Amino acid sequence: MESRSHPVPSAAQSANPPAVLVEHLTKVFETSFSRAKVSAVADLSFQVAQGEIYGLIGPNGSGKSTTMKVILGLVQATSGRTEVFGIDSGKVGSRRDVGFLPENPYFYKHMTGRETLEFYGKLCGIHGAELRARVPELLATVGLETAADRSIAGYSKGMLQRIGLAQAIVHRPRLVVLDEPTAGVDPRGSRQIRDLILQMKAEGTSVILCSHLLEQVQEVCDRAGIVSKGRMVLEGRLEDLTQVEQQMEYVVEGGAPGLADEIRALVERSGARLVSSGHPRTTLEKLFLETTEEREPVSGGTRHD
Amino acid sequence: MTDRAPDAIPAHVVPVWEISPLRVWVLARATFVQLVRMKVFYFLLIFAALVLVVAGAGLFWLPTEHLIAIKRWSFGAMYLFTMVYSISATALLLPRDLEDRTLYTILSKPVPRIEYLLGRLFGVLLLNALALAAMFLAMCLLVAWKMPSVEKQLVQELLQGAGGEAVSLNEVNQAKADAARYGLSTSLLWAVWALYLKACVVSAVTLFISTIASSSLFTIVTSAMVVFIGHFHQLILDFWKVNETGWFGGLIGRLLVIVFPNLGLFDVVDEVITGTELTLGAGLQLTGMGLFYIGLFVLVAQLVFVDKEL
Repeated sequence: MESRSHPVPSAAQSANPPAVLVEHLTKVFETSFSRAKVSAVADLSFQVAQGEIYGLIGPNGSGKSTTMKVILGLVQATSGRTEVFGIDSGKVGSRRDVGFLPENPYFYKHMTGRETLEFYGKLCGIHGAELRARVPELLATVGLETAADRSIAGYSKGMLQRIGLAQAIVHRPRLVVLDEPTAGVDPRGSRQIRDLILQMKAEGTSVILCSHLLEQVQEVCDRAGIVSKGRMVLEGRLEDLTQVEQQMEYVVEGGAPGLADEIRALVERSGARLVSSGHPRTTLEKLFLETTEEREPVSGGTRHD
Repeated sequence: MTDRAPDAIPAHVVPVWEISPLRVWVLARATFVQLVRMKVFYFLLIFAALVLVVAGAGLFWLPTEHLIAIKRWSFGAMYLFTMVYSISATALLLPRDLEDRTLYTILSKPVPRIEYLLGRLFGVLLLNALALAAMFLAMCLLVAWKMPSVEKQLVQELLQGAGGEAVSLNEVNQAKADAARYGLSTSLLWAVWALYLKACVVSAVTLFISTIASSSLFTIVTSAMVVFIGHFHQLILDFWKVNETGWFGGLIGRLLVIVFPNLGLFDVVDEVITGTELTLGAGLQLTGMGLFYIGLFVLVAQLVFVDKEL
C-alpha cells in the first residue's frame, strides 16, 4: 500500500483508542454449494482517529461493504483485528457508540417516521422523556417534521435516506458509519446531509464515509483510503492525496486589464510552462442550489421561478 | 474482531444474563404491530361468521351434538388460524428483514442476535395468544348462550320419552348434567392451551428454519412439511416397530422422531370437546413438552443465527 499520510500511533500506544482500528483484516467467503473461496478483503489495515472523518472509497466489489460489516459485527473476520473505541467489534458492547446508515436503507413500512425513530431509540436504550425530546429534534435536523406521522411506505428515496441518517444518530453515537448517505437524495438534501456530517465532526463524532461521489468525499473527509480488490492501495490526508505537487494555482479577482498578459510573460521568462488560464468555473451543484433556492415571495407581486 | 485463542468464548456470544427483556419487548411489540397492520385479524371476522353459521344450524344436529359441532368448528378454525399464522408470519420476518437490510440497522445497534430472535418470536406468539383468546371467548359465549336451549330440549325429550308419566327431579338433573358435560368446562381451557402450545412450537420450528433458509417461500414449505410429519410422530414410531425394517430403517425412524417435534402430543381437542376431562397432570405434562420444544428450537436457531454472515 502506498501511503502519503503521517504515521498514526497504534491503539496500544495511545491512551485514547482510535474510533476504529482495522489491522490485517482478511475476509474469505465460501460459496454455498461448491465451497469455493472468495477473498473479499485481504490484509486490510487502517485507523480512524476520534473526531475524524474518514472516506473509504473504491470500485464496486472492492471490499468496502464487507469491511464496514466487520466493523459493525455483522460479519466475522477470517483473520485480523477490528476494534471500535478499543473494544473488539465482534462484541455487542462495541456497538453502543456506533450508528450505521446502510446503502439504500429500508425500514418497517408499517411504521411512521416518528415511530421508526422511537423504535431505534428504544433499541439503543433511550426511553421516556429523553426519547420524546430526541425524536422531534432529529426530525427537525433531517428536515422531516412535516412527514413525521406519514407511513414510511410513502417516503421517497431521499426521505428514506434522511430518516436512515436520523436513526443512525438517535443515540448520539461517537462513531457514525455511512454507506452512500446521499444516494437518491437531491442536491439540496445532499447538501444538508453534508452539513450534518460536518456538524457531527464539529461535535467530535468520528465518521466513516463510503461514497462513490468522490467530490463529496473530498469536501468533507480529513483522510481517505482507496480500496481495490480487498486491499488498501492508497491512503492519506485529503490535501496530500489531491495536491498536484508540480503545479501552482492562483485565482485573481479585480486585476487591471493586461495583468493576465504580464503574468503569462513572467511565466515564460522564468522558463516555466503555463498549463491553463481562464475564468474559474462554478460547479453544476452550486449553480443548481443558487437557481433553485427558495425565494421569499415579493409582497403584492408575482413570484417568477 | 481480535485474534483470539481457539478455546476462548467467541466475542459475539452473549451470556443469558445479559439479555435485555426491555429490548426483547421492543422488538416483540414492533413485530406484533407489524403483523396487526398486515390486517391478519380480518380472519377473526371469518371466524365469527363461521361460528354464527354453525350456531344457527342447530336443526341439523341433536342438542348435545350441536354443542359439540360449535366447539369442533370453532377449534378447527382456531387450529387453521394458528397454524397458518405461526408458519407464514414467522417465515416472513427474518428473510424479509435480511432482504430489506432492516436487519443491518437493527443488529448494528447494541442488540444481541438472541434478542432479535426472541423479540420476533414473541411478537408472533403474542399475536397468536390474542387471536386465540378472542376466538375462544367468542366460542364460550356462544356455547353459554346455547346451553339453556340445549338443556330445555333434553328435558323435553325426557318428558316425551316418559310418555306422560311423572319424571323425577334426579332424572331432570341428570339430563342437565349431560348437557353440561358437552358445554363449558375447565378442560376446554386445557384444549385451547394445548393448541396455543402447538402454535408456539410451530413458530419456534419456523424461526429455526428461517435462520438457515434464504427465502420466505422455502421456509414456509419446509415448515409445513415439518408440521405435517410432526403430526405423524407416533405413526412413524409404530411403523418401524411393527415392520422390521432392519437397522437402516430403524435409524431413519429414530432420526425422524428426534428431528421432528411430536405435534400429535398436543392434539387433545377431540377428546375434550366430546366431554373427556383433562387432568392437571396431563395439562402440566403438555406444558412441559411445549416449553421443551420451544426452548430447543430457539436454542438451535440461535446457534445457527449467531454465526450467520449477514
